[in-house]
Amino acid sequence: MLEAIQLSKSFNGTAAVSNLDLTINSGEVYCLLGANGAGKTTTINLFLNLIQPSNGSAKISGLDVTEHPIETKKKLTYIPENLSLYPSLSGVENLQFFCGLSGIKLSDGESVAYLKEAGLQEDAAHKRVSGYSKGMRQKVGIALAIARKSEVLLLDEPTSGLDPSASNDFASLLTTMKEKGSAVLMATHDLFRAKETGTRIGIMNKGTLVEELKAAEVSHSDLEKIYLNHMRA
Amino acid sequence: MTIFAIAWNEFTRLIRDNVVTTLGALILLLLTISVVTGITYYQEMAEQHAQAEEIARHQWEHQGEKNPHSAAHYGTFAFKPVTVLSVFEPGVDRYTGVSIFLEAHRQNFSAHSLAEDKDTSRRFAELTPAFIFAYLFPLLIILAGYRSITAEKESGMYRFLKSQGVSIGQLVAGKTFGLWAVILVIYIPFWLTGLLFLLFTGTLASSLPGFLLMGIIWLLYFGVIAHIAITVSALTKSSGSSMVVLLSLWILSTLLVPRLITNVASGVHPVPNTTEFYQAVRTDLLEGIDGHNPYSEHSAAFRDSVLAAHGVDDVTDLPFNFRGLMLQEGEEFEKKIYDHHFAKIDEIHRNQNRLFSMSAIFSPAIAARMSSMAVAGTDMHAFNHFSAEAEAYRIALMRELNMDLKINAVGDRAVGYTAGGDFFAQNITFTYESPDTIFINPGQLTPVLISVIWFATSILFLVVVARRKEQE
Repeated sequence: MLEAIQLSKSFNGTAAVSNLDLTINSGEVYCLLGANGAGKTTTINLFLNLIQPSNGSAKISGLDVTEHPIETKKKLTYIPENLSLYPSLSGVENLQFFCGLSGIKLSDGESVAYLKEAGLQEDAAHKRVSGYSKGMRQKVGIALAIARKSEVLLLDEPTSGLDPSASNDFASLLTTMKEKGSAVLMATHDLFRAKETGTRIGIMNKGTLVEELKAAEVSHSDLEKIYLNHMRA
Repeated sequence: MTIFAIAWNEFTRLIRDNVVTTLGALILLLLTISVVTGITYYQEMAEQHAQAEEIARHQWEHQGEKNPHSAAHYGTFAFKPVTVLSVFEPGVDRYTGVSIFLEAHRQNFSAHSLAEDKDTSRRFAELTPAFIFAYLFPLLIILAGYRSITAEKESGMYRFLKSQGVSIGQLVAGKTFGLWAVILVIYIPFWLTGLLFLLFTGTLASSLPGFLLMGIIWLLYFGVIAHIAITVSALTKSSGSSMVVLLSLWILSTLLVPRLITNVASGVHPVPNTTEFYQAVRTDLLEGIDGHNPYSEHSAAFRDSVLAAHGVDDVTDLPFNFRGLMLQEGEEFEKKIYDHHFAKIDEIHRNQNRLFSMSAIFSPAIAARMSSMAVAGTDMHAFNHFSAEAEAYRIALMRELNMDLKINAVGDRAVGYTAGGDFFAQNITFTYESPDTIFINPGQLTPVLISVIWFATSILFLVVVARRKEQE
């Protein structure tokens, strides 16, 4: 479970995130929409404890990320827009390395199985990542989340730049993760994907969560209208 | 676990890096060539040394009936044996010379330095393991380490690793161990080959402590370079900046500081040229007895004191040949003068050496090189030890020759007396034995100590930079 309680962050007096109250339960995908600079990435960074909050707190599975940085990081997997993998290693080796950081030792067979579960072909799993497309790299990220049995997924525009097919594959994987009980926070510009994949949708503007919607209760066109209204406000 | 995972990952990344592997292979090739040429050179030198020593001794022993003092002027040679570790670290041997001409009345400088050799194949021997370790190996380490942290920052991996709970301390430690692993992969086979060489030459037992210590000294040096490379990589924002800083440090440490210190040392402690040196010796020699000139004021005074001591009026009444005694007296006076002037030269060299040792504080390359030369027995201290032994032998031999003249020559003249051929065969022989201890002078420990300090400081750099980055 992810929780933000009056979470705020200012940079040189300018509020990047203001009094954010948010709870994302297990089995829920929360899509955070907003223009560039709306505070989406800052929110993710606060949950990752890469930056310290000016006020309030961010919690993962009930633990404050600033007070329990190691424990909370063990519970989450973060997938940025451009997932960094070591190009000279194969998908299997990258997965084994990142799992190894958390003390999880994977055999080649287990690694391939996780990668296959994340949608990567077996022959690709043994090839060096330098030849991977962006979609394939994101699948390694998902495989990592599966292998680590992450309770929380923090995704920062993970489908940006993916072709529709790869984006659709990624959405399916998110659904799988949701069904496995992960709490997912995804920052995105993709309204369509947010509506299709999300359980709930939050709209941020200038650091403030200005609207929260249930994905099932809003149509694509209404979501677009609401979003644009907030952006123009 | 995390550190091990990062280290293994770094090691795998580096050995799959074409640039690193190509340069690593090239360095291994150069090391192989340097050892092969070094071994050939060592064997050739050892053989030449043995031959020259044998010829010199043969000529001495077979000079036939001769006046002992004529034989003293004819002279002989002392040859400095090449140490087996000079294959790895030839040190100053090629500049100091390999032999000293030993003759009456005069202490000579060494001659026949290898640097005078015009043979191109021998010049090729200058590509020594020590040269490669001091100059080229650091480039490999820099190339492997300059982007160890910057690349993670540039690719966004650093942020991703932090999200996985990796601390900067773990990252720095893992990267350091990974780089160490690459260094050892290249270094260990080389040293195992070196051990085999010592084994086959039958010198393993005597050379092993020095060889192992030399190995540790170079490892400390590589560690310093590796730690500095990772420190700089952690401190700089881009791989380009990191490379520029590290190459600048390499130029400073291996090229500029040694050159600068050499100039400073010869400026602050200038060595007189040979003409000045011998002119000063000649001036001082006039102040005492000349064994060849019975008419000088000092010779007359000496003669009078000897006559008075024996209660006789004429040298022909002495129970021994006075010329023999006078030659020995002259020899001892000349020894004092030469010792005095050579001591001044030694003092200058010592001061220069001390300055050079202390400059190792500014250059780990100097610290490593000087330590390595000390351990290999190819530094100035080793050469001075040989020179002192050769001079002690010269004095002992001259005494033996003069005493024969003193006891056996009839009358007051030395001319006309000849010693039998077997007399020369029985004269003492010069056999130079290298000291049993690795370090023969406390001054040799200074660069070794500085090497250790450099290593400890470089680890401190890593710790400080990791802590500082952790707080950012």
